[in-house]
Amino acid sequence: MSASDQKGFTLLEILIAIVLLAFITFGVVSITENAVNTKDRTTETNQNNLQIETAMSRFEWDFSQIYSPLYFSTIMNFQNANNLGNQGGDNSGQQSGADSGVNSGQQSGQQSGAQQGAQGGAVSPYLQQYYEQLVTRFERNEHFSSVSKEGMPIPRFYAPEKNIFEFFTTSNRRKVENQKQSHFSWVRYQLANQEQTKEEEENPAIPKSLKSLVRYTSSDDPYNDKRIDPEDIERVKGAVLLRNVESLEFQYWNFQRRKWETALRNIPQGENIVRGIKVMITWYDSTGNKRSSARIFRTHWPMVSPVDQATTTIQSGAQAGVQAGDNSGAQAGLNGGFVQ
Amino acid sequence: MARKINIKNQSGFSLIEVMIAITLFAFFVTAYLTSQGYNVQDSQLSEEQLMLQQLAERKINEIVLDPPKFTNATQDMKETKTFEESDLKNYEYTLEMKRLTIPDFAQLFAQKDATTEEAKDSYEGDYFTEGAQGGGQRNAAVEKMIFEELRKNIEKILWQVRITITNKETKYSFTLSTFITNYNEKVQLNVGF
Repeated sequence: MSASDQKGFTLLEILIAIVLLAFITFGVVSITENAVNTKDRTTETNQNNLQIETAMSRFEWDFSQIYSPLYFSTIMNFQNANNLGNQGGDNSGQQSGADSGVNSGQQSGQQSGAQQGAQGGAVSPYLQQYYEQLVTRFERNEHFSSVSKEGMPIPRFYAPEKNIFEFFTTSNRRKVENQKQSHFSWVRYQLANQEQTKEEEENPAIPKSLKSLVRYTSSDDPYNDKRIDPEDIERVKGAVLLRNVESLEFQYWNFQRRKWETALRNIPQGENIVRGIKVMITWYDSTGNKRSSARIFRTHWPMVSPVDQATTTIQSGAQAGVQAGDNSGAQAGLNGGFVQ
Repeated sequence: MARKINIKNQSGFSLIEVMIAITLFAFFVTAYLTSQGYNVQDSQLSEEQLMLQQLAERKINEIVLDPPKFTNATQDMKETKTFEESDLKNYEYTLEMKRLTIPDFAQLFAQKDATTEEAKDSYEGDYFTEGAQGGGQRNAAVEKMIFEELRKNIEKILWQVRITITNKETKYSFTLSTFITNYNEKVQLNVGF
């Protein structure tokens, strides 16, 4: 077998081979391209869904932990607290019964001579001073409207427009150890101007006037008396939750009328207690689809409205006053002292 | 046996060989394309599930905030409605309500039934009954009384509610259930010793 015996491919064979190869290559390339497109599309869809789900889980996290002492307590009764200072004004048990429960409880306890009653009804001078200070020093400001019975400031929720909501929540978690932060913080959701990316600008389906949903939080000083100022970059942190938002609306559940309200002031105690929040949001996803979502969130507090015990204490105090001297009087005195 | 290689002797692939090759290739392509199809489908399915779950959560929250009246009529209630919003016309929800029922004391604590001799023995050595004759039975009675009080209150106050969201076209559905509290009822304990 010598080299001259060998015969190469004919031109025709090579041409056929090339054409076949071209066909196969074309097939493979189109399949691959198809695969890449599918991957891109599914990833984009999933990411768009992930984006809104993440934003909504942030809402859930913040709203479910909304805090106000009014969920478990009542507003401090200034009249009662003032009465604490006027000890010894009345001598008879019956008259003092009309007074605050603690006061009368103490007197009836003393009259009955029972050691227990006296101890239960006695108000420590420190506590008295504390109440006095709370009453005289507390000033209503933008963030806190009054003081609860225990002396905790009652936050004032704020919704001046339908797409702004500022509230007090315990959802803060400090990220740096020993940082001077608690779990309390003020959080404000609102729409802010955004700069569109190149892709967004080139997409004709996405309008130019869209905004971003931003979560502002101020956690370093939760007892700050001023509303969150989004411009105050030093104290307020902002994080974009969702881009290309066309509209955002918050609604609040009115328990008495059983309907959703856009303004907090239409709800009894609405500035201080929020039970349910409905968020309606319309946005454009990255492919330019207009999407909308309406969700309902609620706080994790039980749906009860705490009632001030003052009325019942006054009654028991009156009871004690009438029956001053016997055991039940001492008992009522004890109760009166504790409940307050 | 040495054979002289001659190009003319060489034959190409037979028809069978070519067909096998094509079939194999076709299998590969089909498998590949199907997996692509599943990818797309899964992505759509996950979107659908998110939607169903979101609607179910919304409905449950709505019910917790604005509970229906708790009467005997709402007991075993089951109603199916379509969402009112225009973009949710494809979705319907089924709301089911039920009182919470707790099994009988005897059923729950069958092994402690004080009527059998064995149970009596086990009670004898139980907590705070040491030495007392017949103390086992007395404690069983107290336990039963407390249990009945709690059961009465729990059954009065707690209701079960279940929401099923169904996409009318695809028939995909998502179910969510929870307890709701009947705030109109008060806890009443009449345990007398």
